[in-house]
Amino acid sequence: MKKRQYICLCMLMGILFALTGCWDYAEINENGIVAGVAIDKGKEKKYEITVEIANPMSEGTNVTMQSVLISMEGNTVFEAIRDMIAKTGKKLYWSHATVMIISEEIAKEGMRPVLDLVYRDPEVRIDINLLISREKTAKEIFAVEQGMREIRSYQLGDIFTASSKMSKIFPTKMWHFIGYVGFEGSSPVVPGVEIIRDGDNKKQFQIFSSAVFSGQKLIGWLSAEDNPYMMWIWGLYENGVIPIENILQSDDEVTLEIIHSKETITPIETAEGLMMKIDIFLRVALAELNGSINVINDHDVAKLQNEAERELERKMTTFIRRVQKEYDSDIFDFGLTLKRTLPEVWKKVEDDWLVILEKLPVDVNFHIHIERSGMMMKPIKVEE
Amino acid sequence: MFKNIFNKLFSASEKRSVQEIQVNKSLKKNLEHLKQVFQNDQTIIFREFNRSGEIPLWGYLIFIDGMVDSKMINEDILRPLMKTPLQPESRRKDMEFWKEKVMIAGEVRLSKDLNELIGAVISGDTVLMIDGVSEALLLSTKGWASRSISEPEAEKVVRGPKEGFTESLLVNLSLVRRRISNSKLKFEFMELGKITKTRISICYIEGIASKEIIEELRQRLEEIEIDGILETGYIEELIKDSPMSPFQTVGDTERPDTVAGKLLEGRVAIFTEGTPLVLTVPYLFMEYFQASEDYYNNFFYASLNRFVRYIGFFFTISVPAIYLSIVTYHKEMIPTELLLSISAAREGVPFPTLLESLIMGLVFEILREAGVRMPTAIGQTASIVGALVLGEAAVSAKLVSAPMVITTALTGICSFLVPRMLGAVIMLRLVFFFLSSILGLYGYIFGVIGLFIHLFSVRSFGIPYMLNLSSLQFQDVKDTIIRAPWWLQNLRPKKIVRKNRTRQDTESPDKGR
Repeated sequence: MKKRQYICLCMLMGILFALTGCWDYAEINENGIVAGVAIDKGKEKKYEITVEIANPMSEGTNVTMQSVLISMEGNTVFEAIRDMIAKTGKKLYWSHATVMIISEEIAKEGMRPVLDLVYRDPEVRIDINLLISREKTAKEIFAVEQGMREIRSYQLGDIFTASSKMSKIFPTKMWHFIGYVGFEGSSPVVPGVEIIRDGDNKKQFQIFSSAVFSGQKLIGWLSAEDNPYMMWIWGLYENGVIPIENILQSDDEVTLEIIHSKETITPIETAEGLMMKIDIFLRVALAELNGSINVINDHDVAKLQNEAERELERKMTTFIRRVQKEYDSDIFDFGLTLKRTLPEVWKKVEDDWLVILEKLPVDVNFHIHIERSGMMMKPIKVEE
Repeated sequence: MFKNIFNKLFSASEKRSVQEIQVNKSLKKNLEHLKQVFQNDQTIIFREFNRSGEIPLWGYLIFIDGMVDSKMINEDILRPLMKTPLQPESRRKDMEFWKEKVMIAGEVRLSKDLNELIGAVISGDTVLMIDGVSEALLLSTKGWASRSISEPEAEKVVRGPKEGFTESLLVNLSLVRRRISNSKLKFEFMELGKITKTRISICYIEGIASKEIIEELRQRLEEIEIDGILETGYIEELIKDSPMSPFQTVGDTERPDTVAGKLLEGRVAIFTEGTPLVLTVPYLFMEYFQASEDYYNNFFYASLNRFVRYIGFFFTISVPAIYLSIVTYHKEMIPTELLLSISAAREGVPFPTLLESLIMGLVFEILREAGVRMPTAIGQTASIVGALVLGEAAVSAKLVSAPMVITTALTGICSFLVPRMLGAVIMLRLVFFFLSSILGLYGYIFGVIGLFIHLFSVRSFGIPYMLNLSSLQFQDVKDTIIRAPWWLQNLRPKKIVRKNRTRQDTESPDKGR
């Protein structure tokens, strides 16, 4: 009797396994793999969500990628996403999404409602790249005619991956944005994407400008030329190049390539009030010299270094002044730095920080050291 | 338990004493008895010889056709029997005379017990009986055809001796004896199998092998009550620890050098008549991954090979399970590019991954089994057909996806890296596979934890199965995943060898390093 009971129990347990149905079990091709998502204002409902689905098609051994764009309106983001099954016939799989493009309109109203779901949902990775569309809608970014990769979202992802070699574009991940929105004394900056016409008049996207936020709301744009200075202060300008014109009172230009860059920001409390001291230490190499002046001797190198330092300091100071004047936003994280280094001072100024920030004096100091000159000691010699 | 064994021994000896039948003085009566015993057996030959003349002699030679060396019987036994000039004063009625003066055979012995004679005849000896003598002469004339020594098919090496054991017990013993020329090498004989009366031999090196293990082995062997032992597999299953475990706790090999190596590490070997496989105990998990060639090759290369075998073991039990769980449960773990290509490959495949993998695994096992049983000539055709049909055709017909063929092939090939573990590996693979089909990677991890709990609880003749594999002491890991150079292996493995652990004396100046 006992034995029969055991056998029955074992059989029941076996059936139990077979009947569970494995709630999470899904074949890989049963899911639509979301590569990127764009969020716009809807016409009838509140939001219009557009997803780009990477649809691999195989014919024999050939695998081709097909980008499928699907839009859906909904009063909340989640509603729209779920309703999409009506169009796709596949459950969408979000873990491999690389970019999230948000229209300027929504960004101006505030990012919180659209980010909440994405941040809450376990399937979306929080290192998804955020982008703000400078075009009318966000979804048209996916619809550009020309690109290196069939799946536009992955191309955007590639741009961010390779961006560290250029140092004019910086990725803003979602966790990064949400973190900086939440900190006191800092504001997020999100790269912007725009569509340009190519040589043969085909649409192509480009990431260069960046959107300045105050809190969760977009308040303005910075141009591509401003990015290096901003990234210097963040300590991200590691692989960039510095072009300097009219060196040593001539028409020649040099380009310096950064080998190593280190920045320190020190808040200083003086009798007149608070002050930010920015020191940027650069070790650079002479990458390009398009003239005949040979600067590779001790005297001229020192002169060149000096000239470059002054030039950069001037540009940087102008830039910081402009941001301080134009935007009510602490994109340089000065507040955060102050809070970390002089917490008692921060306590005093905390409440009207943005007012103080507008007038905050900044002292910029570049320290450039030219270390190498590449493979050549002298400029290319040209017989007249 | 001891009581049981004692009783058994006692009753056995009692039976023997009851059954002893004296050799009768009358040859006729003896013959009658023997003919009755060997009734209906036509291989038995009673060779009568009769020397007439002034000194008459009438006797019989009894032997079994095919079990004896007929040349030896003709030249060394019959010829002297017939030709030796007999003087009247010769003690021709005394077997001692025949034994000492006439017979040329090497091993000759006297016996008065008819039952002993019968046993000897069965095992290939020849019995000489002479009328009027109440004793018989046992002549060792064993000489049956046996396979010559050849390289074992299953354990081939590039570097190392090319000898393998044969089916002959004595030849096998000689192969080991030749490698260990030391009087400490001991062979103990036993007879197992109530009907087959198979001779087995326990072999060990006195002073190195631990007495407890030998005693334990003897005891387990004595408890065997089976009717026949045809192969060492019978003994292995009858004496092994953890009988329900898929893992071996008794080792087997066809290579004399491997046996010699294991004897030197304090293990005990069991030779069995009629099989080229020799058992060694205790057997530990790490021995699955050791090959005799490891000890002959450069230690870097040998360690690399060991490492590859461990990796192969991991792959062969885990690849289907991990692939299944990643592809169906944890897609976020796959790099995007790979995900897209797997997804493209699976496009249009009608079966779920679970079924796909099971079918492919089954087909692979079918091919493997077919390849083993088939004659070599057809075997090749089968593997080509299998590879083509399963690989190319099935993929292009969209019956299976290409990644599945790759995982199946990888799994299959890796299972041959540790050929001795094949059975256990297939079982583990299935268990892991089903666990991951239910719970994904969690299931797989549960399986792995279960496997480790099992492995660490098994013992082989009192020695922990995972000995040294969990150790952090350098001296212990010298012969596990790595094979340390010989000049560092100063000690014999711990626990197996209790006393006398020094393998080489590091004190001597030119060896110490």
